[in-house]
Amino acid sequence: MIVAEQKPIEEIIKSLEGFRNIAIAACGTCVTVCMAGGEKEALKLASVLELKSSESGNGITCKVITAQRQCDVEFLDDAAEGFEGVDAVISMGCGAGVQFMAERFRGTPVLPGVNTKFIGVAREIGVWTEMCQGCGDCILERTGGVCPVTRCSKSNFNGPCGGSANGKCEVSPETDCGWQLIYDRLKELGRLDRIYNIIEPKDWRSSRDGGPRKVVKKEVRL
Amino acid sequence: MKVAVLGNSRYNGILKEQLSKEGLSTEFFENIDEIKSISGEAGAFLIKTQKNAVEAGYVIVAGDPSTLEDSSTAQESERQVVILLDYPEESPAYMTETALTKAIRLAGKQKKVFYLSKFMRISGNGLEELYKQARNMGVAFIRYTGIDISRDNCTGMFHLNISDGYDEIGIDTFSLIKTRAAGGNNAARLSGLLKFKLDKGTYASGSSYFLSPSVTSRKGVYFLDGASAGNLGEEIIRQIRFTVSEISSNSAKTCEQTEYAEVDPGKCAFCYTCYRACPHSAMIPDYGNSAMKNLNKACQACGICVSVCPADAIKIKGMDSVVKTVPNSLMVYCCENSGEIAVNRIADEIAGIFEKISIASVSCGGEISAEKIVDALKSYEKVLYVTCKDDACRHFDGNKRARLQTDRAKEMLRSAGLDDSRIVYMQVSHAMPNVLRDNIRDLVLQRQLPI
Amino acid sequence: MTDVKSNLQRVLEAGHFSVTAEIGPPMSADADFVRKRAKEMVGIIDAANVTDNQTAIVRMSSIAASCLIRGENIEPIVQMTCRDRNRIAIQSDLLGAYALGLKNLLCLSGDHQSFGNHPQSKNVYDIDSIQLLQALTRMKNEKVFISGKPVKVPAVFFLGATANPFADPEEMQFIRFRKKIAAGAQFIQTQAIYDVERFAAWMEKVRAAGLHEKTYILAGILVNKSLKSLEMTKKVAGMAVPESFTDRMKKAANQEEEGVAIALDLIKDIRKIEGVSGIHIMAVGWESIVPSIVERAGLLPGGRKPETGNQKSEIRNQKSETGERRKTESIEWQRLETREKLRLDKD
Repeated sequence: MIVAEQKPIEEIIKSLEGFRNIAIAACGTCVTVCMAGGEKEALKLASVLELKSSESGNGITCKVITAQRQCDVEFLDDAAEGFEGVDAVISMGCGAGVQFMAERFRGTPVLPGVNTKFIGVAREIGVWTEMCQGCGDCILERTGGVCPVTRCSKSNFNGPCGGSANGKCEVSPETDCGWQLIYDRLKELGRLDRIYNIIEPKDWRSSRDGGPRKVVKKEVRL
Repeated sequence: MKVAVLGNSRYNGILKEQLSKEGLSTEFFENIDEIKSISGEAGAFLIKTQKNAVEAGYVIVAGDPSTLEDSSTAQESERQVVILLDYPEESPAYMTETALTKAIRLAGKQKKVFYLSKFMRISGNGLEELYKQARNMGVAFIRYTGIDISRDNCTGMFHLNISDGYDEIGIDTFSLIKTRAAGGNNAARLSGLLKFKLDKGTYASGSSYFLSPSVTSRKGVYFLDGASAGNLGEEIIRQIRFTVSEISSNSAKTCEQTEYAEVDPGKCAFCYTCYRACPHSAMIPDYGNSAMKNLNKACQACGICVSVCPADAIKIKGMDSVVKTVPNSLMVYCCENSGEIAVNRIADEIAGIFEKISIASVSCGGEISAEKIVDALKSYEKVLYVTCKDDACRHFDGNKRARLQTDRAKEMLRSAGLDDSRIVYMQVSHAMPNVLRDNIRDLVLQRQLPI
Repeated sequence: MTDVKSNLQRVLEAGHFSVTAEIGPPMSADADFVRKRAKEMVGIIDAANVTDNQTAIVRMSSIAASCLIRGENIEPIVQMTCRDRNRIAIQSDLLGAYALGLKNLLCLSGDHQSFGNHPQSKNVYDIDSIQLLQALTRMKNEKVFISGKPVKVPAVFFLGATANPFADPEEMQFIRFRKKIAAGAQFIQTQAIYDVERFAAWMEKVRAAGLHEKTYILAGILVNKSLKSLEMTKKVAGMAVPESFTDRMKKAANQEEEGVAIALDLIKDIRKIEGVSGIHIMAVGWESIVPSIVERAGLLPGGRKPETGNQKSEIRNQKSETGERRKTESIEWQRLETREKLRLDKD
């Protein structure tokens, strides 16, 4: 899932300068699950903005509208009515949601309410970690199901750097060394031979380095 | 009603006998590894094995006793017993009570009892009386900061090296009664099956099960495993009796709840947050609806799921909703197990302090989310959140969650440039109304200060 | 012109126990600083590593500083990390380095930028150090760039890499070490050695795999000026410092002298280990001690005292005698010849 984190309210308030009638758009998918931009977070933000409004007299009023997925236009259409006549929309969706809403509601400024972080997993309640960079050419088959591009701080393809100590990355003692994980896993699977061969330099064209990407599934297109 | 007994305990025979006396049938699952899953709730568990699926009303874990019990050479004639409360903080009142009762009972049998703990809990629930009695009977209380336990495998004797930060003393004993016992080799497996948390090593987390009495955090699931090491026979029999009587009385009446969490499947994001947070394992996935579902009988309506749900999809059914009142007033959210009792005791005294005070009782501090607190500030000048003391939460972590949620609400106010002193969090015991009253008075005093 | 071997390569191939040291370029454009560092080591060492923005702190570029020390008659080992440049920049810089007459190259991944003075920077790591080694080996052998496109005049470096005999887990690190050699590392400079026993055990593994015949191994020697410096070293991840050294340092009346004595003892012990081709001295911030260590270890060419002042002119004089050789190549040849002559004299 896409993992995001709510922006500091201070920053959101700043971005609202000049706007009064605000809609906060929660997204019911990834950002709900990672507790950054679901209905609950949107309601919380609305409450704080209204409190601020009554104290500072900035006249801001808020309403919360939840779209099931901001990245599918039909859901935005369903919610469209609610966005009519507002001065600005704070999208609590990921970067894709914010942009897609901005496309859908051309006349209305759409402001980001969260910082989109990464593609990750819920390690435990309230903790998410990065697992994938969407590089577009998966080599997990060679690395025991642990991604060296994402989970090694240097994206090393051929083993750990000198900063690997006691299974931890030198960049942060909280971070596991990606290569230690690869090694452990392959060893467990009895497939350590997978890392003896030198992995060639990666073709980064499949990643964002090749420009904005597009996926087309031909058989469903007329 | 059928009772499923997991594990191969040498007390399985006694257990069966006791259960059948109460008209309960028993199904044994001696090899825990053969169990694939345990689902359902009190009154209706479904245990799937590699061979079949068995329905049972209750589950008793009578697993192979922990390592301490297993090789114990302790005998009834043993003169010395050590009771070790190894909580890192103050132990919960019920546990202190249990341990003290046990100490008194053992001392009454002319045994020398050492009572070791890191932090002494000395108030509430008639504990003062129990302490006095224990002291009078010669129980030696030792407060320790560090402990090192080793065991002689030949003799079975435990060597305890105890430090209080200044001195070290050693105690050798055959009888060691620990408050938390290892689940042995089965701990990890059991915690997975029954969704109990695991602490470091093989200890099942203190927030997952009480060892003595054998009640766990999950309704209808009982642990007989490892409550005590030393005087096995007697203790385990006591536990068996307790457990059987619990099951018997529970199965007699329906354990249907009037208050329980209800999930709106249309709003539920199926994120498993409530599942992970629920201290009673009362949330289960409902794949047909792609939403979580509440087990009404297991649910204890603590509301922790309500506060953590990111989709605002859970409500507690049967619970009074908070009525909004006029501004310039105080909103008090209080836990019904502590704050509410204390507030009621001082209701008359505090009535005149604020123009208006609204008191909302919640079934657990864990119920209130940051969102609710901030929302209340729209109608109230101040919000006071009163929960139980640390370790006294009957839903284990509700008060810790309450503190985190109030911290988050305060952080949001600060980030918006608002006064975060409008939110106050405090912990009281039901026996501390005066502390609460003074705190409310302070809130008024603060209010009168020019900002 | 480009097929002439570097001094370091020739010394190693001739079977001499070689000595390299480290010169860290300044955090400024101060050329004199680099020259001064180089002058101190003239006639003392076989080559000097010139670090590439070490610990991710911005410094004068390794290639530029290498050219400066070369002007002082010290043969440089250019260092190239994968942190700051993508494959285009790396290949381009290295073509330039080779064109300028630099012939030794040490390939590294580079310290993560979060440790340096620009933690905000983007990390590149387009390729890793093994891929870099492999790319340069291919350029050498197959005359191609990483893309597979041909290079008319390739950069033919004497290629080096690093290894840490103490990193954990051993097996994983050893796999990586083997991969470096497979990718074409002709020499290896190791992490600082303190635990000679463990190093000897590692060398045994190296010999068992025949790796010492595929690459030259230079053991790292770190010189500590004080107990504090030794204790700091001890804290570095992947460092194995036996307690006995800390004790020695604690008891020592003169810690600087004891630091040197420890280094000398280590060198003595390491020289005895079969398969070790030389040492790499790291005297971070105390470069001026290197001549004294090399001398006291008996590793000066010919065991002669350094003549820092005259050395340069002497070589220059010799150079004019052998005027038919091209300027860029002659220095290396000369130094090697001098060295061999001196060694023979000693024998």
